[in-house]
Amino acid sequence: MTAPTAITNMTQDIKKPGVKRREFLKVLGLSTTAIAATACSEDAGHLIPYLVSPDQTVPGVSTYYASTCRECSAACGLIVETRDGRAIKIEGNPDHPLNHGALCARGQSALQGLYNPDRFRMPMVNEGGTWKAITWEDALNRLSAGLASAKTSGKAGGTVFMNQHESGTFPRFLDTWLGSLGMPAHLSVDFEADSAAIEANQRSYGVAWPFLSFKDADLIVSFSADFLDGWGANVPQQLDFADARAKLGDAPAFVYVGPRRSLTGLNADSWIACKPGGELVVANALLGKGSVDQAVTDAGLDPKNAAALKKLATLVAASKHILAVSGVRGDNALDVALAAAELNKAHGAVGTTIKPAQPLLGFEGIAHTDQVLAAVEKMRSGAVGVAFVRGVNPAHALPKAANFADAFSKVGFKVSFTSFPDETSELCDLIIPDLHSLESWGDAEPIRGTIGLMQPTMDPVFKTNSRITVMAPSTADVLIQVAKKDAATAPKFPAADYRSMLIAAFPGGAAGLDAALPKGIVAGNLPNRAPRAAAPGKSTAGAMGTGDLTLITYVSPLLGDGRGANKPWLQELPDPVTKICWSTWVEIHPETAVRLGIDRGDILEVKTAAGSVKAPAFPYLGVHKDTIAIPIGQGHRSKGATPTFNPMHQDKNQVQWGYGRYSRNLGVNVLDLIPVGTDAGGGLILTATKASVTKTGDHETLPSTEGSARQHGRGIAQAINVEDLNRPAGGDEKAEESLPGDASHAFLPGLRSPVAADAQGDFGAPTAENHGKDKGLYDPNDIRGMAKRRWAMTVDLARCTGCSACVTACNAENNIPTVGAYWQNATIWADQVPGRNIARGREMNWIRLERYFEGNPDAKFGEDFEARFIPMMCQHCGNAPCEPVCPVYATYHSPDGLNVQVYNRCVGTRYCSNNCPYKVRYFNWFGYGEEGRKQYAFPEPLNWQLNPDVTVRGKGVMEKCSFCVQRIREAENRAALEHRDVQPDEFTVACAQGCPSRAITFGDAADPNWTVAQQIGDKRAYHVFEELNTYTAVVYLKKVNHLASAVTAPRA
Amino acid sequence: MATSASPFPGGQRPNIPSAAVKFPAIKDYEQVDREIAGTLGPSLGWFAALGIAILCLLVGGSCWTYQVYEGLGAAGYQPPVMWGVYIVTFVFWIGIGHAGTLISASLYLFRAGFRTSIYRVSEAMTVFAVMTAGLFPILHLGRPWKFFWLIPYPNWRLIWPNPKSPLVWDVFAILTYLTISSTFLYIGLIPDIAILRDRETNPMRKSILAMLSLGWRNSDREWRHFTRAYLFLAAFATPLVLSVHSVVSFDFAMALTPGWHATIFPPYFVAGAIFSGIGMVFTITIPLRKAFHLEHYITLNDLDAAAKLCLFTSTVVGLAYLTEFQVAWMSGNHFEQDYFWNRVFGQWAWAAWIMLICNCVLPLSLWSQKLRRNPNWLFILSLFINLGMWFERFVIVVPSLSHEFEPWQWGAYQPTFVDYGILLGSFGWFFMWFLLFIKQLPVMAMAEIKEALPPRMAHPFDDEHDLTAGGVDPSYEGGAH
Amino acid sequence: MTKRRKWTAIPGLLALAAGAVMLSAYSGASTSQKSSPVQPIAFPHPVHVQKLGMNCLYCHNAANKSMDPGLPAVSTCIGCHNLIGPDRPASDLGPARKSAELAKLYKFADVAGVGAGMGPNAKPIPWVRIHKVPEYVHFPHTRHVNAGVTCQTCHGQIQKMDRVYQFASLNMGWCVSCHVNGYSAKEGLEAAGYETVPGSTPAAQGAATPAAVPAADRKKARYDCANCHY
Repeated sequence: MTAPTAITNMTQDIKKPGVKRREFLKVLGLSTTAIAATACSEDAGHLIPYLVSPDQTVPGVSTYYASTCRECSAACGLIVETRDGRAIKIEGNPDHPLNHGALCARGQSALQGLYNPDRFRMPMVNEGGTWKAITWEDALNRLSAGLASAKTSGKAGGTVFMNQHESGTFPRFLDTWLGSLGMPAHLSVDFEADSAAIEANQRSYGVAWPFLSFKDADLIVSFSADFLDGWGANVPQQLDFADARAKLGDAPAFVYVGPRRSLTGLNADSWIACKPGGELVVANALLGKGSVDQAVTDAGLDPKNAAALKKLATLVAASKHILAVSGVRGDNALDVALAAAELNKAHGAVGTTIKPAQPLLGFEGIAHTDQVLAAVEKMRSGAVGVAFVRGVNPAHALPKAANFADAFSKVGFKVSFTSFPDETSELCDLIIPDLHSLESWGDAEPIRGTIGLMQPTMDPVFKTNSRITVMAPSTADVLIQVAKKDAATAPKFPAADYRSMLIAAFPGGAAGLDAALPKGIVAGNLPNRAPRAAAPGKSTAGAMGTGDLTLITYVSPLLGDGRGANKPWLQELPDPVTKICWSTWVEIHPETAVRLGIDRGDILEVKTAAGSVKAPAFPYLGVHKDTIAIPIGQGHRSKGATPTFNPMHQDKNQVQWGYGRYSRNLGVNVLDLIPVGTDAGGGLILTATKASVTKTGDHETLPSTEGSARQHGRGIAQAINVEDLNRPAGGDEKAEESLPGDASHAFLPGLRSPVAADAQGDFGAPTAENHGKDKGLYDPNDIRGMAKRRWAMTVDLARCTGCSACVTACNAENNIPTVGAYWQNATIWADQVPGRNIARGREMNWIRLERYFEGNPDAKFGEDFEARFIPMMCQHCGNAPCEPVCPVYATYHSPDGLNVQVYNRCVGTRYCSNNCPYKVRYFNWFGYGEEGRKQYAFPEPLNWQLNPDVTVRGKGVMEKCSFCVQRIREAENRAALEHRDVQPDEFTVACAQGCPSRAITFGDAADPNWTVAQQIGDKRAYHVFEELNTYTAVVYLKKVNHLASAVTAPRA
Repeated sequence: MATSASPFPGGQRPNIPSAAVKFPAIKDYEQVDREIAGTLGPSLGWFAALGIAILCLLVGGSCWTYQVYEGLGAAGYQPPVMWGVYIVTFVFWIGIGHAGTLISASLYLFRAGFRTSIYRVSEAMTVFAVMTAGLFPILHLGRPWKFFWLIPYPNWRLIWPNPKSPLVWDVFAILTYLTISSTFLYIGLIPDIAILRDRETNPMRKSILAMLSLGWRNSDREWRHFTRAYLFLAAFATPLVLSVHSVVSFDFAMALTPGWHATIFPPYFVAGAIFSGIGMVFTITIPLRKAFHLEHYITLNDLDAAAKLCLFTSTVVGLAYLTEFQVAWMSGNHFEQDYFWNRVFGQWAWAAWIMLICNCVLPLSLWSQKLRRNPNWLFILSLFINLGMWFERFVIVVPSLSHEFEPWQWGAYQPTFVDYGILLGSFGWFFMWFLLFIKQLPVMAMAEIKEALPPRMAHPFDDEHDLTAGGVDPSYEGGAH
Repeated sequence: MTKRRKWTAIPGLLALAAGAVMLSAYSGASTSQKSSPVQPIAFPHPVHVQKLGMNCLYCHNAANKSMDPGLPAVSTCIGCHNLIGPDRPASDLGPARKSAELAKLYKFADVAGVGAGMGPNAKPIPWVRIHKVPEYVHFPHTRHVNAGVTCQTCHGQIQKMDRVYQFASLNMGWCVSCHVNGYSAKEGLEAAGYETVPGSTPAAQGAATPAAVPAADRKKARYDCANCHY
C-alpha cells in the first residue's frame, strides 16, 4: 500500500489523510511472509511538502484554536485541536465563563458533523424531481432570481426564514438582510427549548434563562426538569450540580418529581412518581395550596410513595435557599413552571440559587413551536412566496399531524442552507450548503457581558473551485454576495464578506479581534435582540385522544430533536438511562409489562389519535405505571425510495437523503404520534397524549450494552449514606463492611509504585544491582532512564452523573471505531440490522458507563430505587490477570505502571479478556480500521478526524484503555525538550478533560504532589474487586446518598 | 499342540492369555494374515465414506477461509464469551486422543490382554485426534498468520513467547504428544508393514513398504530390539496420558474466571479425556468390527473389558462434577456460587443437563453385563458419550465466560454457521485420515495377535533361514490341515 | 552402506532447514536497506551541507521539536534560489554552468527567472520517501535530536550523499540494540565528522560499533514496548 505519513499530513491534497500511516495491520496482513516480519520493505510512498509553510505551525505538533459550540443554544466555548491543518479533537475552553473547559458528548461530536461523509459537497438544484449539483455562481444567480420573482409577485412580505436559533451577530445581520428585501424578520427556531420554562422565567425573573446556582441551594426540587440531560444549558448546570454534590455532607438533597425518571431523575436522592401533569398538584401542595395527602391521590402517586412526598414537604418547609425547576412539557406546563417560580420566591432562591443578574442569553428570542406552526399554516394558505431553512429540520421535528410537507409544497421557492441531506432539504428547490461552524467566522453571546468568538479552525472540508471566493462561502457570505448583486440592496452591505463585517463591528476592530481570538472570548455586549412575540393561548387539549396509557415523549439527551442522529458517535453512545443505542424503544413499567404480558424486546405497536408506530419494549423501573415513554430523535426517513446503503460500492455524488447513512431508517419518529397542540408557553405538548399498546408478536434483541442491571452484592458501584460520612474509620465490623479499605487502605502501598510487588514488599527501592542487572525487555522493575511513576486515576462517584461525555471524549482521542451501523456485520448469512454488533456485546468503547439499580428488587411501582453510575475502564492493575496469560507478551506491565496493549504484537487469542475481571478489553472482530472493508468505521472524510498519535487498529487484535499513553509520551517529550521533569497535573487524559462533572482525576500516584495522589487517600476510596488482589490503578470514591433511603444497602 | 522349539524359547510368553481363551476362532498365523491383510482392499463403501469425510473437510476449510478474510466476527463470539466452539472442540479432540495412548501404552505395561486387538485402532485414533486438535489453537486466533510467534525462535528483536502463559505450555504439550504418539504408532507398525511388504506384488507399493518397514527381517535380534523399543516408548508415553491433558486443563485452571479457577481440573480433565476416548474407541471399532468381519478378533470379552473401563472413568467424571459443586458450595466465594447455580439452573441449564445425563447417568447401564456385551448398545451409548463430553467442555468454557465477575458484562453466546462448519470440518479431517489409514495399514497388530496364538509346530530354526513373521514355512504348509 | 541406511538422511535435512529459517529470523535483514530511489530533483546534500555549511535544521526545521523532521517548503528553496538560478555565473563555487536541476526547481515553483517570486501555478515537489520506520512505530525525532544523537547515527554520511540512500535497516532489532546497548556521544560526533579528541581522524563510515566504547559511557534508553508502540 502507499503509506502516507505524518509528513504527508502537510499535504493540502485531501486524498492522502495522514492517519493512514497508522492503519498498520493492513500491511501486516496475510501478505507478510512468515519470518520477514519487518514492515519496512513495502513502498514508502511520497513526501509532499508545503508550498509556503504557514506561520506558527510545526509539522506533527498540534495547534489549538478557540471557538464556540453550535450544537445547542447554550453556546459553550471550545478549544479545537488541529494537526497539520485538520481539526482532530474538540475540548471545552477552560477560560470560558459558561463551561469552564467541560464539554458534553454532543459538543464533542461536532467534529463528525464537520467531517460527515454525507454533507453536501456542492450547491444543488431540484429540477423536476431530480437533483443535480451546480456551481456556486449558478446557485447564487438562481437565488437572486428567486428573490426577484418574489419581489415582483409581491409575496416578499410573506417570506419565512427558519434559522437554527443562535445568539450573536448573525441573527441581527439576517434580519437586516431580510429587511433590505422587504421581508419579515426570521424565525429563530429551537425545537428542544422548553418554551413554558422560558415564558415563566420571563414573567417571574424578567430573563429567559437565569443562571442556576445549584452550589448555593440547600434543597433541589425538579419537576420533570432534566437539567442534566437536555433541559437548558446542559454543561454549566452539570458542572454546578457536580460541585454542589461534591460538598458531600453539606450538599443539597435532590428530589425529582415527575412521571419519568430521566438521567437527572436517576441522580436524585428520591423520586416522587406522579402521573404526567401531576407535578402541578405536588407543587401546589408544597406551596401550601392543598394538603399533601390529597396530593398523593390527585397526582396519581402510589400510596407507598406518600412518605417520600411528606418528607419532601418537610424539607421544603425547612429550606432557606431552595432551587425548584420545572421542565414539564404537558398542557399545564406553564402553570407548573410558575408554581416552581413561586416556590423559589417563597424560599429565598432569587438572587442566591437563581441569578437573573447573569442570564444565559443563548435562550433569548427563541421562536417557539406555536410561531413555527403559525408560519406553517401561512405556507399552507399559499401566502408564502419564498421560504428559507437553515440548520433546522421542521419536516422531522414537527408532529406528522402538522403536515409540514403539504404546507411547504405550497411555497413557490424553497431554499435550504442546511449542509446535511435532511427531510426538509429534500423538499426544497435549491440547496446552498452552509459551512460548518468550525469552518466559518461568527460570534455568540453565551452570557451577559461576554462575547464568544467563532473562527475557522481549518479550510472547508469540501472546497470548491468557485469563482466567487477561493473556497465555499458561509451562508452569511452568500447572502452578502446576493445583496451586492442588487443595486438597491448593495449599499446596505459595504463589507466584502461577513468576516470583515464582524471586524468592522468588533470593539477595537481587527486588532481587537486578533487580541481576543486566542482566548476565544471578550468582554462586551452585543445589542439586545428584539423580544419574541407573545405566545398565543393554549390549544385545545381534547386532541390528546383516549387510551389506557399516557405517552411521554422526551428530547433525547444525545440526539436532541434529531439533529444529532447523523453522527455515529452519538448513535453508538448508549442512552445514559436505558443503555440502548442505534434504535428507538418504548419504556414501560415492569408491572404494566407483566400485566400486558410484554417482555424486553417485544415489538409493540403504539397507537394514538394521531397515528401509530412499532418499536421494541424496554421494561424500565423509572416510568409511572400508567405511562409509556419514547424518545425523540430517531426515525429519519427520505420521502423517496431509499436503496439500502452499500459501503462497498458507494457513489460520492449520490445524496444520502434521510439525514445521511448513519440515521436513515433507524428507529421511528415518535412525533408521528403527537397531535398538534401547544401549551401556554408556546411549546409543543409532549406528555399528554393518550396511547394504547398492543404486542405485534415480533421480538428483537435490544442493541443495549446492559448485561445485568443489578450488582448481585458485588460492591462494584458503592455508596455511603451522608450520616455515615463522619463515622470514625475502622470500628465495628459493620463499619469495616460499609467502608472497605477505609480503616487501613490496604491497596495504598501497591498504588504508590509501578508494580504491585511493592505492596508485597519484594520490590523495594531500585538498588545498584537491580539497576545494572538486565532482566530483558519485560522486567517490570527495570526503571532505567525514568522516574519511578505509577499513573493512576480517581473517579468520584459523588460527582459522576452518568452523562457519558467521557465515552465520546475517549472515542475522539483514541480512534475508537463505531460498530453499530447495519452494514458493519459479517457478509454471509448475517442479518444487517442496526446495532447488531452492540446487541452481541461487541461494542468497542474503552470506557463505559455502568448503570446499576439498587433496591426495589421485585420492580414494584411506588417503591423507590437508587441508580448508581460507575465509569469502568481498564484498571491498569499492578497484578494484572491479563498479563501472565498472553502467550506473546502483547500485553505487559510498563515501568511506569501502565498495563500496555501492544497491537502489532497481538495475535488475538483473547485469553487476556477471558482473564480480565473488569471485562474492559475489546476485540476487533472485523476490520473496522481497514479502509475498503464494508465494516470500515471511518469513511472519507471521517478519517480526517483520526488522531495521528494513536494507532488505528486492524482486525484480529485486542484493544483497551491505554490511560492515553500518547498524552503521557507527549508530556514526557515536551518535558525532555525543555530539560525538566513532567510537572504535577501538567496534563490529563481525554476522559478526565472532557468530564462535565470533573469526576475523573488522572496523575502520578507515586508523587504526592499530584492531585490524584492526595485523592487516593480519601476515606471514600475503594477498589473494585479488591479481594482479587489486582492492585488496580483506578480508585473510586463512593457515591454519597443524602436522603437515607431504605434502598441503600451497605456494600451492594 | 506340542510346544518344543518354538520361536519363543521357553514356551509361551508370560502374561498373554492362552489362545484358547483369547481367540478361540483363530486357527493359525496364516488365517491372521489372510483375514487382516484382507481388510485392506478398498471397497465401494469405503470410497463413499472417504468422499463424505473430504466433503465435510471442504466445508470446514471454506468456512475458515471466509473467517480469515472477514475477521473473527464471522464466528459467533459474543463478548464476554471470547472463547467458544473452537476451544471446546480443541479440548474435545485432545481428550479423544488420550484413551488411545492409555490403551496402547499404559495397558501394555499392565499386560492387559484385551488391548491386543483394539490398540492399533486407538493408537491411530490418538495420532489423528491430536492432529485435529492441533488445528484449533491456530484457527481460533484473531491473526492466525502470526501463530509462529508462539514458538520460541531466536530473533534480533529479543522477543520471546511468554513462558508464564498456559497457551505456550499447550504448544509444547501438543507437539510432544504428537511426536511421541506417532512414533509409538509407527514402531508398533514395523513388523506388520514387513508382512504386507512380503505379501505385496505391486513393485511400487512393495518398495514403499520396504522403505517403511526399515528392512525388517524378523530376526531374533530385531525382535529383541523391537520389544525393548516398544516397551521403552510405552513407558515414555504413559505419563503423557496424565501430563498433556493436565496442561490443557491449565488453560482454564490458571485463569481467574469463576468455574475455571479450580485445582481439581487436571485429574478431572484426564479422567474425562480417557472417558471420551473410550467412547470414541467404541464408536470406531464396533462398526469396523462389523464391516471387516473381525468379531473373532475384537471379541465380546474385549468389549466387555473396555466397557468396564468406560464405566469406571464415567463414575470418576461424575465424582469430579459433584466435587466442583461441593467446592463452590463450601468455598464461601459468591462469584463461584453464583456461577455454579447459574450452570445448572440458569441460562445454560440445558447444556449442563445434557452433559450430566450423557456422562453420568447413561453409562450406569454398563453395570449390567448383558449390555456390556451388547455391541449395538455400546455403539449407541458411545455416541451419547461423545456428545456429552463435547458438552462438558462447552459447559466449562461458555457459561463460565458469560457469567463472570462483572454483572454489567454478562452475556450470551450463539454460534454461527462458521463455527458449525469448522466443527464439521474437524470431523471430516479426522475421519479422512482414519479412513486412509485403515485401507493402507492393518487395523490390528498381526504380530501381537500371533503372539497370543499357540506356537506353530516345530521346525528347524536358524538365522540364515529368514522367518518372515507369519510368512508360513513351506515345510509346514502341508501339515497344517 | 546398506539399503535401509540412506533414509536416515531425511531427519538431518529437516533439521538443517529449520536451522536456516531460524538464522534468517535472527539476522534481522531488511529489504529496503541501501535503497536509493531517483528523486524528482537530484538535490545535492554535499553542496549545501559541506560546501555551504548549511545546518540540517535550516531545511528540516522541525527535527528538534516534533515527531516529524519536516521537509522544506518550496518557498524555502526559492528563498535562496530566486537569486541562484539555473544559469550560474562563475564564482567561488566554481565556473559558470547551467543547472538542469535548478531549472526543474524553477518549473515546480513556477519562477519566471532570477529575482522573480513564486508564480500561481507553483506545485509541491513530490520527494520520494526513503527513510520510513514501520507503520506502527512512533519515532520522535525531537527526543533523539535533543538527546544529542547526531543525524549521521541513523542516516549515515548523509552530508556526503549526492543521492540519498537508506543507511540503517530501520527494523526493530536495530532500534532496540541501540536503546539497550546505549548511544555514545563520542561515536556519534565522530560519525558526524567532528574531532572528539584533537588530531583524531573522523570515523570513515556510519555509526560506530558497540564494542568501541565502554558500556558505562553509553546513554541507554527505555526499551519497553509502550515506548514506541501505542
